[in-house]
Amino acid sequence: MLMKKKLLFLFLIGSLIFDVVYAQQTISGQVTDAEDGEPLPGVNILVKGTSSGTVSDFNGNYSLSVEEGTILVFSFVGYQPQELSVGSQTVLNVSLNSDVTQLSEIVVVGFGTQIKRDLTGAVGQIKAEQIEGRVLPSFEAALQGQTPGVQVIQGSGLAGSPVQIKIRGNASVSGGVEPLYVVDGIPITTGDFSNTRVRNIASNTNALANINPNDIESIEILKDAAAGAIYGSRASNGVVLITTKSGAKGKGKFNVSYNASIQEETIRQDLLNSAEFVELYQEAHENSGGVGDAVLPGGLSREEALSNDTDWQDEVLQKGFSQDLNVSFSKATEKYNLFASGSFSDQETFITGNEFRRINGRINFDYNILENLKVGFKATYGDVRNDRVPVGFAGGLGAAQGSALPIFPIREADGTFFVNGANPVRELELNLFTQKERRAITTAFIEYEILPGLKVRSENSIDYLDQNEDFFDGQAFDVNGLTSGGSGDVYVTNFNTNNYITYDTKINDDHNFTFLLGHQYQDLQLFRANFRASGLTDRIDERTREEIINAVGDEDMVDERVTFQERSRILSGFFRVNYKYKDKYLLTAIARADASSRFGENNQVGYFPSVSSGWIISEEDFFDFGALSFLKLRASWGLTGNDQIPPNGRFGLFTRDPGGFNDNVNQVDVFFPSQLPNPDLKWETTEKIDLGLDFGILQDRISGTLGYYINNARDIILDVPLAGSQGNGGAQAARNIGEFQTTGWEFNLTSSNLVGNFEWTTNLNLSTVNNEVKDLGGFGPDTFDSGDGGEVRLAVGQPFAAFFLVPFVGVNSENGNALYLDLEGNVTEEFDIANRRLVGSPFPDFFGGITNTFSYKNFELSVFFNFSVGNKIYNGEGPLQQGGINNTNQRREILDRWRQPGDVTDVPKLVTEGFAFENSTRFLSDGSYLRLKTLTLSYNLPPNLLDNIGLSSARVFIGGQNLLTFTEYEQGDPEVVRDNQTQLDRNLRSSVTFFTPPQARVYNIGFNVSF
Amino acid sequence: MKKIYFILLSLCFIIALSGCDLTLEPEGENDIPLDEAIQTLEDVEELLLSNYAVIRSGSTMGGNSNWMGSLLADQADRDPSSGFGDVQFINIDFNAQNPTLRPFWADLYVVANRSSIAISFIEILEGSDEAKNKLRGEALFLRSLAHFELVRYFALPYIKDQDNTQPGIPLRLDPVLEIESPTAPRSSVEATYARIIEDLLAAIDLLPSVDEDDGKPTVWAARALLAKVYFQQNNFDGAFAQANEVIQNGGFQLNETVTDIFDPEQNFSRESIWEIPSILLDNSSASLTGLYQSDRPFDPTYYADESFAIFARSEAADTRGQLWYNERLRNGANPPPEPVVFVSKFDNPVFNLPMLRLAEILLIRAESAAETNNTAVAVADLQSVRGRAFDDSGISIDFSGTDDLINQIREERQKEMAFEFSNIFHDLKRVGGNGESVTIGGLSFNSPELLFKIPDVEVNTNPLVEQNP
Repeated sequence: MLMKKKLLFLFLIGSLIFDVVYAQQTISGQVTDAEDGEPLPGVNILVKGTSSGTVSDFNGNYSLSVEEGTILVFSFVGYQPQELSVGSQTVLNVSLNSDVTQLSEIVVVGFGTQIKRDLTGAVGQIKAEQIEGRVLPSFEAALQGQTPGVQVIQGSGLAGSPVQIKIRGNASVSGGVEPLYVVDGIPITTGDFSNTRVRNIASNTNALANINPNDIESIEILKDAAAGAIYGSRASNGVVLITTKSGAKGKGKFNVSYNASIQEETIRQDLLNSAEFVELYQEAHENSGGVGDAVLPGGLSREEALSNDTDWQDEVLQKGFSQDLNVSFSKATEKYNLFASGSFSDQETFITGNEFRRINGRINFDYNILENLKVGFKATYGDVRNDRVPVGFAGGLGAAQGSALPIFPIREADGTFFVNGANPVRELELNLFTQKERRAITTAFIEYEILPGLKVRSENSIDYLDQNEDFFDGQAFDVNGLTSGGSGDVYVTNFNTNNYITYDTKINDDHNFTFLLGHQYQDLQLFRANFRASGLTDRIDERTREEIINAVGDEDMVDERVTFQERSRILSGFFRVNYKYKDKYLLTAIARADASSRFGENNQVGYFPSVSSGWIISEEDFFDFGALSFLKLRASWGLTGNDQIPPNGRFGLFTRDPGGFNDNVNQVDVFFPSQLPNPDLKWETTEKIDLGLDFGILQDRISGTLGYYINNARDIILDVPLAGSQGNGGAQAARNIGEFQTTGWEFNLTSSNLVGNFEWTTNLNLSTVNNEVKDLGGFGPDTFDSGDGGEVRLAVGQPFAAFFLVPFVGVNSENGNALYLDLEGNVTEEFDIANRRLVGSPFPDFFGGITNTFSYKNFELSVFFNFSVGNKIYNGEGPLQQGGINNTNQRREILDRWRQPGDVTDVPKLVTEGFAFENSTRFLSDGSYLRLKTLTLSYNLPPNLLDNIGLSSARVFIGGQNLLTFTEYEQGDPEVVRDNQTQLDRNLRSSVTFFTPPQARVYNIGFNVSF
Repeated sequence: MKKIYFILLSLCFIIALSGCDLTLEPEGENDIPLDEAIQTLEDVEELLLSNYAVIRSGSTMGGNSNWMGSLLADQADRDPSSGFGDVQFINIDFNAQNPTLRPFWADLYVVANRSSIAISFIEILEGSDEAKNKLRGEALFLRSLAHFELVRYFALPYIKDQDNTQPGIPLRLDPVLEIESPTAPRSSVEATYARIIEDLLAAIDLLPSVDEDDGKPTVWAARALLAKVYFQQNNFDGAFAQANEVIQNGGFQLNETVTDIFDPEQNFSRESIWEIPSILLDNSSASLTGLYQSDRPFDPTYYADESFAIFARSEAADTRGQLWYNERLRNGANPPPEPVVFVSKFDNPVFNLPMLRLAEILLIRAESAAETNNTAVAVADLQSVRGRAFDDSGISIDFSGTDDLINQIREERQKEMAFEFSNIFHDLKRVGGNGESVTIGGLSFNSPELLFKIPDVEVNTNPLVEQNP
């Protein structure tokens, strides 16, 4: 870590060497790191009160001519400066203590780095330590609760499942809301490439799950325009910069880490048992006017039903065992820098049959050909196999909590599976759905320092992703012993080149400039092919694949084969200047132009400027506020864009549908207009305004930031339907007409509460998000909702994706019917969607995280809580689980149902006939929670013991995740994002659950050794 | 040395920049940019073929058209407790959000628009006049079919001998291939019918007279459809003339039995004037069988209304009563004790969808003839249809005066065309338009309540369209 900084700054600071002009006495020595004794190159050594001095060389040595009695100031980024007065000695060795405060840390920004102190934008940062040793579905889950303004919700405990990241509440309707992910300068391929035409199992996948979290050195999150505008039309949702590890100077170092864990579900639903179900079913039958014994679902007699009592959740849930092994080697010399790693990860989740295996390898290698010429490459390969299981509406755990009734047996008396009703055990055992993904990201760069301070760098990369999905319907064998299946392939090729010049210069010592000028070009190609086949005896393998594909048109074999291709290119130019005057006044200006093939011909190029400034008040002479040691005020304004619109969205297209009709003998092609041209289509624009106050107290023992932002999103794409009489079916025109505004406060604080033998540090962050729909282009509120009578809609003046429901006020004690409010406030038994009203927002009032770290001697305890307050969750499965007894097992709340006139309850009577799926506030819940997200206790083996066994460091740890949750939300896990198949639903309905699986509770143990 | 590296770097820049082409076009096998899409008459042919897939679909004439009016006119019935949109049909209380009517409206306009696109391209493409005429005639025919289906459901009926200024439907005559294309207001009922007739007359001049057994309309199909249009206006002279042409010169004959027309073994039978082909792979009749098919383990959605079933099966010798209905108990755990008369005429798993057939045209000619005092033709045509049904070609037609004859022809049509394209509903409206007192579902034939509401999407996006009262 430290070595990396040393190397990085060697070049920057090396250019500042200047000669010493006067001398009376030569003093020399070595500057070392106080902690590990390693020499520190590039340390600034200044004669106090003058501008003369020197810089330590590669071995930390320096030599300087000074007058006796002079005070020398040794300073180096990341270390506490030290002042020493020169006596008569000629050798002065100095060891510098690292400066743990955040303000001096290096922060990666787009196409360069900055010292945190000099930042004018809002950048959040997390380090390798916050990732290592955790069991994560993919690395970005580690961002949760670490940085204000970044709301991270892991969708569920499913293996390889996506993580929803909302940076400053970003919102789009039909456009993507994912931040831009940039790994070592390269915007990488992200998203869900699962093909629902192969199999829709109500869950999404995540291309980022292929990346080994242990390879990551740091993650930076660019939140505002000052930081993000350098990524122009791709920065509205924020930018996540990932820097992978590099070698540390010194002898080669091996690191081995291992982590084993047990996973279980955080919450299990309380459902009826068989006897209760039969009793309530009978009652519902009678309430519906039925006489005699009700005919039970599944063709079961009452006796059979009562003799079965299947706890389906028990059957599909398990204790999943996971392990993760990482081995890495790193080494750096003056000539080269090497980091190599290999990892193996196997995660079994808490759902039977759901397993995720990942093998990764990485080599990062930099080589200095000349003093001023450097080349290098970073290459990683990942191989993932994900055995996926259906959830939600598709079955599995969703069925176990719904359509699989407790009266159903798993197997009949003869041992065969029960088939007259939902049987998730049969489904999980017989159906096979595997996703395999191979991914290679390779980057090569060359960097040349033309003159001191003037550097040219070229980075070129290919990110290739190859995914195959294979589904085998083992449940559907017919009498001939044949069944069906499907297969889908996706190939994504992402070529990227960045070429840029940076120039650092200093004028009259007081004026620091850094100029950046460059361009970026990306070519993204996606090819997709899939088919469904019948007449299978076994799952599709490499051989049968070829046979099946060649058999296209053979009606016994292949039902359909579909190919799809899309491609997009983006060419960008960018410019940035950072100006610093006297270490007090900071100014950054950015301009970026993006030309993208996604934009319509009338809007082919977008321009994204930003201006930001900072004032380090604590550097002013007048500044003297006791303990307050650092104070910086910063402000920024800028424009960013969101280009996550379909690559082919702007084109007018005709589609040729093979076999779309017939000529009475064969299927024949039909050809029809499928998409109208949209020459005005463009990016969504966000005007971002950011104000921040950074402070440090007691020499930065306490530091933090208070921020406020306003994001005015304009040109939001709304899919406006075309008039039916225009004859394009349900066609919609994507128009840039919507406007949203998001504002919020952000606060974070890092405090070293106790120092010394017993150390205690606290890191707290808090955020608020308020958003409002400002304009919908004049279209009415029901134009954009989640379907007829949907739970969620957009309306001017209301929060984004606000819940819009008929208020449920109780039960008529006379007849057991549900009571609702109409718009005048009258109580009515009639359910009418015209009585819907605004009843809450899926966005929390505030959210955040708090981490406390305690260390004593070699022990360290880290306790991380995260929380969310004021957000609502709609339980989309509620109407079924609390009333739909016809075909769904019921939650135990139903036991309080209305039974006879006079009963006072808030659970309406049960019926079997005339059950209506009514979305009302009855199923809207407060989703606030406080959760012990991670707890880790670790022990570092003492150095003397290490020496004996030949290790340089060794750490063992035990920990857990999601160990405790404090919430009033009972339906499921309050930390929830429903996986949806369309972007629109993902944007609007992510807080509308439907048998969404919970998160995993994890207990883990592991070690980490270096030698 | 340094220079070399600098040059290398500069080269990287230049190569990278010169490779940038942002005028990308979709490269998928099946997606063609709009301005390159229609190059030949074959492309136009495929474009028009796509219309048949829409017409046969459940949302239009392969499904909805066959129950909506039948349900309103109490010919069909269904379980009242289920079906969110169908409740509106049962209660005759429509709203603009009706989930059946949204696609019914939009998809029929898809047919009209693709036809208009085809017409606009045929003008500018190379090809023989013969080929162009055939395609143009086909496009005009399909456009008329869509407009005619729409105007009968969404507009007040055509009233004979009046200025039919009541709103008809927006006509989709200009092709829409841009999102900023203008919308159209509703033409009057008079203008709508005038346009349908104009298109069909043009189609008659263009279409070939011989069907290639592939389900394309011929001149006879166009004349048969025009006969239906004139008949709907109670223009008996016009209807007679067109029906007469089809019967005299089309070379069609009634099939041997009433089931032959739905028999997959007898596709393109001699009675068929136009039918949409269905093969095992794409089973175009699937929607219809799903709505009515009586012999599956699960009950179909619709069955015969009780009183209509009594009427339809009133004569023991009528083979239609025997072969087209299936009386049985309903399936399910607790079936009601009363049996239901299911419709079995569509029970075949895969059959060509008959769109226009001779029996209907004979009955149109019969009634038109009766109305124009050509009793002999009327009786003969009625005898043909009834004779086939009763398996007695010489069946005697007894009637007391023209009114009785006309009444018998109408009843014959209700039996012969039962459940096909809601024939009964349109016929009741037609009879009302002829000045007779007619009710449908207890409402006057021209009650606005019988009209479907223009779907909400249209109302929200087309400021020119006028909603039904």
